[in-house]
Amino acid sequence: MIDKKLEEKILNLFNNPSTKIEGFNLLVETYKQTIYFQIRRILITHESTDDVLQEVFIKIWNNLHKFKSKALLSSWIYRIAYNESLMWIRKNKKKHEFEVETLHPSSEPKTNIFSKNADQISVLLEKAIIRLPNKQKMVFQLKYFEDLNYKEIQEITGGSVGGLKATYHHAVKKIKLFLEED
Amino acid sequence: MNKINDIFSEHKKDKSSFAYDVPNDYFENLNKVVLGKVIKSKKTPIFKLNYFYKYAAAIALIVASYWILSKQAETAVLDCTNLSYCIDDYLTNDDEVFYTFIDEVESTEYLNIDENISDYLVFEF
Repeated sequence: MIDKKLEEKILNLFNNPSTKIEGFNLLVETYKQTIYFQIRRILITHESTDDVLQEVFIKIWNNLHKFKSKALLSSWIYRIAYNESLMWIRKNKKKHEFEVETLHPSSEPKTNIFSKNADQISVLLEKAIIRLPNKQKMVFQLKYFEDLNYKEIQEITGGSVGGLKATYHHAVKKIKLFLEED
Repeated sequence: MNKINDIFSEHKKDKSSFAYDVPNDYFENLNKVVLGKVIKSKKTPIFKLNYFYKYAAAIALIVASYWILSKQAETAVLDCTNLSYCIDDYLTNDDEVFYTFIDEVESTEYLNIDENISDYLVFEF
């Protein structure tokens, strides 16, 4: 999870016209990998992820001056990434459905997860996450990978804290079922 | 199930996943690419008006349109005096054509309206 001091530094640099580019560079450097994989888990392919990621950063550039520092900068950025990903899916529904189907064919051979190495397990875990519905996917990765609490997740995805807890619980259950299958 | 939980806690640290193929140097070049795009992109200037000015502009537009249309309508109003002269000229021209091809004696007979009516009544009734 990104710390508050770093976020403040980014905002101060960005809001100063002479250091705006430096601040933006620091922002991109800090968030690019996290946001990339967040989007990639939803959109699956690198090409679409790259397009959306660039759109996200362009939106950040155009709107960061309006950002109110009460909320976390990271929450704001995750929210933009989430919304842009959903918008991309809406515009490219058929393409996205095809890509999801292609990525986890049902004919894939099943083997015991405990006989696999760390990389293989990581691949399986990611495949399990991809199979989740988009909202469960988002809530799961924000909770699991980013260690956000439910209040922070609520700012990004909306919904109630209780609903988000249930969403995360269902996501974990589905992933565990997938991993246990043999 | 405990082993699955172990897997979960073990892979929690791994945010950048091996499961996805990312092109070489993608992240290294990303800053340049994004910065190039944001500097190039120029926001089109949007002139925003508050509510008062919006309504004032709308009303001014309606009034101006009405004024222009009414101006055009005025020029289309006919001068009645000129119109009657025009009609007379038209009728005269028409009569000229009529009289050119009709014999004078015969042509004036139709002007005796009363005689013609009584003849009509005698013949018909």
